[in-house]
Amino acid sequence: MERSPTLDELRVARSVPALHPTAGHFIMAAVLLVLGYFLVWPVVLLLINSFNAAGDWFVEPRVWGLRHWQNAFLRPGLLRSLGNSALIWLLTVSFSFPIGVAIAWLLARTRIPFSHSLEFMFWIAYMVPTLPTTIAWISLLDPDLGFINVGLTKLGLFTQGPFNIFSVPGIVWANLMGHGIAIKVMLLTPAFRNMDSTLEEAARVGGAGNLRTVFRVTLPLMLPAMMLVLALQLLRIFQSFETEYLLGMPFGFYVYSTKIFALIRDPVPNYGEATVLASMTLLVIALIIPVQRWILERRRYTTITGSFRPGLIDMGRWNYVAFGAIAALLVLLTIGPLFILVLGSFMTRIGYFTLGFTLDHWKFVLNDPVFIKALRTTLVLGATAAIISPLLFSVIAYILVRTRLPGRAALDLMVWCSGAIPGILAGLGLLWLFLGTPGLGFFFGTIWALIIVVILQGKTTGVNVMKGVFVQVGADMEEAARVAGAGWLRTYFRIWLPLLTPTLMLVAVMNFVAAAGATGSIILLASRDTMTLSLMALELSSIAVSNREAASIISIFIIAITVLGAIVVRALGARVGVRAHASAAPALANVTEAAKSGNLA
Amino acid sequence: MFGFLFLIFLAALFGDSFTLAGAAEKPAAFDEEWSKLIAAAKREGTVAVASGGAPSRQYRPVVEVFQKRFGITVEVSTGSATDTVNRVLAERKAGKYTMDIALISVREAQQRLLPSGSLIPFTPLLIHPEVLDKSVWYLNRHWYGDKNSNTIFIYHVSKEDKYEYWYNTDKIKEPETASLKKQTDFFDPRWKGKMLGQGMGDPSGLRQMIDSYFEPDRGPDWVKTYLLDAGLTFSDDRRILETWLVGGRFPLQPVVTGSEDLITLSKKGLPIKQAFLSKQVALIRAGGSGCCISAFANAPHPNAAKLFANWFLTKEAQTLTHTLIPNLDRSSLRNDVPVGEVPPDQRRVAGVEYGFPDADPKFGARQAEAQKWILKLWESRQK
Repeated sequence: MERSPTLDELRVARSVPALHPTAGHFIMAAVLLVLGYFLVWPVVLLLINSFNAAGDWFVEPRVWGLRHWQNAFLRPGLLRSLGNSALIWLLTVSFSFPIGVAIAWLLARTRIPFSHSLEFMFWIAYMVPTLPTTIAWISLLDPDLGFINVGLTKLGLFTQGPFNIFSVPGIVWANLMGHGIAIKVMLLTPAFRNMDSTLEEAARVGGAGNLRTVFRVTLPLMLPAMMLVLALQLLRIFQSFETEYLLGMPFGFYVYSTKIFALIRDPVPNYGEATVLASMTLLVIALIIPVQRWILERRRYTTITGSFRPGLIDMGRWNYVAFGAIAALLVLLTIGPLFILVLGSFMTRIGYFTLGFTLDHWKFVLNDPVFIKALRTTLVLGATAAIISPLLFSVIAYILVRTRLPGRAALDLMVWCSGAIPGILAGLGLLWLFLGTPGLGFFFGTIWALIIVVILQGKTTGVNVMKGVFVQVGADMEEAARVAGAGWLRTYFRIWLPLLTPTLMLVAVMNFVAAAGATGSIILLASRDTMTLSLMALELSSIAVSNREAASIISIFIIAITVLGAIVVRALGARVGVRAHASAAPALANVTEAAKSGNLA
Repeated sequence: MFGFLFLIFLAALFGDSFTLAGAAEKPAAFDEEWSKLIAAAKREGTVAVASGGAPSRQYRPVVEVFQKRFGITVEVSTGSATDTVNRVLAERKAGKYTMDIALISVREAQQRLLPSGSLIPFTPLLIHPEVLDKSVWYLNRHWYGDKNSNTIFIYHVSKEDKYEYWYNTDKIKEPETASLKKQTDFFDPRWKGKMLGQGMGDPSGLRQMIDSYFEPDRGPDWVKTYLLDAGLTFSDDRRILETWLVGGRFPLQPVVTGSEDLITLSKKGLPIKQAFLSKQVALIRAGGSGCCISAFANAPHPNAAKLFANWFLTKEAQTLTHTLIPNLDRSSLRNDVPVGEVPPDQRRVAGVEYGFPDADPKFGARQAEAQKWILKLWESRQK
């Protein structure tokens, strides 16, 4: 039996020189240098300093030693916290992954009604910050006071509330209702949409039913995309924090990230030990990269070619059943938390209906002199991240997947490793970078420093999602363009960009959300003049200020501008990209034809 | 020899009078110096204040008055005080000096700003007669929170002359609280599983435990039992704690800080009540970013900083802190400012001399040791 070509064999460089060697090497060197400096150097600075045995890095003189490495692993309960992190991650993924895959398949491969609107609703679910969602679920599932528990008890169905959010199942539930399911649907749906129906039709012609086709054809072809999503989730195993911290502490349940957070939040922050503990994620990455490469190189995953046909499965009345189930889930993921957020912003005090409603919190926020500045800064950061990041990440992903330039492995490693360190530690590394580099000090305290950070902060997810698409796209169209004499840039803009548009839109929205919600990575770099809405919300919901109602209003603004941004991005995407579904095949054929006829100008 | 000793005796006897007379005799000289200072400060145009927590917001209306009066922009950093200090220390380590004045807690200043050499003695900056006049300050002196008693100037303190605790009136009836007479009574098995407390991730929760460590009514053993064996449920989130207390899930909170919100909820008819236990020694404390002022070394706007520091401690500015900040949970150490928004339980009683551990030059080091011990205990809960 003939073996499928490997990924390396697929790379266009083998048949078509992807770049002029000199230009290619020059570009690669520049990419490695710039990204290495902004992504890896802060991590390296942190790791070097983890050998600075001083208790307070900023106060005590530098003393080299292994103290932090020894003490970090002697922390009480460290092993248990590792186990707890693994438990929460496994339980969350066991539910969210199959659900995410199933929903992505339903949205992308079946004739379910309003599939694009439903997909957009998952984007909105992703835009709702984790903290308000967790608070909303506490209000609903607190064992004694939660609305659902109280309601069930009052109805006489139970003698006491059956649900307890302060438990392991409670944490897993809050994670699922937070970003657990939404992010997977967001990342997987475009990949499922990019699948040529010819393969599924062939399976059906061969006598396979819908289910068999899914398991024998669709899912194996989606393996790279699913692997990437899983790997990205694994990266978060020691970083996911807020929900576990809020819900775990009351019953003495601590996860690994809680340990890291506690060290950073100590009255005298122990960045040394925090870095040591955070660096364990590098071990996870050491596991991810070879496994990912092994899976990608085993076989061929091309699902988009010049003869692309995006056919959909008609499930009959099950289309409506699936629609109902997804819509019900979306109510839990979006309408519920959003309703609680909006309601809370009008309540005298969240959680106390007896105290009545008020506009005072809105007046407080809108009259805050920092608010307009913060709104403006957030818009600038969000828009910049949404425009520049997807383009930059797509170029990096292109280099990684479609070229044979030397240094690709280093670049891939760079992208993964920079995601290993939690935001607040990365923020410290960046602070040193800006302060310690002659010439860069100028950026410190200005919006430019924040812009650099927000552009780069979504790189691990962004680049890997893009890689997933490049793996799916066949070489024929690019080859046709090259044969027709189009240069690399023209090929990129005329062939790749339209094909990538749905994923670019996705990455744009994700980066907009990340930029608008950034806290840890920018908190040490922002000044009063560059305060963002997310930092304002953080301050308002902090222990000292504890104005959760006002923080809710800020969250509402963040969600509102993100939704508006997403709508704009979708509208632009619809203009630039290849038309979806029915019209996609002719459009792709046109692109290929144009390329072949040399009419790409 | 006797003559010299006699002179010293006279100086000691009338020292304050000489100072006052001196200050009173110099208004013309002061006016000139003050005008020059204002002019120099205006040329600098800005004063950068490192602060954090609630006070960084509370003081906004106060600094606005300064801005209008002198035409100098005041940039007050907001957010967490620890983040502010981290940022300032990192900047200074890289040779970048952006801050002029610190409105930061004694603990942050003592443990981090002072040892890093970031602060300069504050006393020499004081030139305003209204500030220099020690007779208007509590016990006729200036109060500092550092070992040299010259750098971290304490201007606001909270008063603690009794222990406060809260309970849910639906779950605990008033007669039941009669058994609570001393601090160890909270450890009676009947309360096990019914109490809640602030976690050590909440700076106020930690601060309470440090204070408790040194108090004769509590002490280290009490702190250990409270954190490990008394069956309390902890959270760093005060809003969750509040909901538990009001809903009765955990109906007793033996240690409380920042109870203004609970008072408001209680006044609005929710079933919670404040109660008190006696305290052997009445204390005043300098806690949080709203207590103290100090000056940064290598300040980029030294004249504006000096002007701000002097103005902030005048009768006018301290009065503004009492009148413009609602429900202020502390009060000025100046005796000549009206009580304004300061609640009755925070007003110092004239003639009473309170214990003031934060002003003890040796207290800082002992406090740091206690803090380490408490955090170690706290972490041992996670085994």
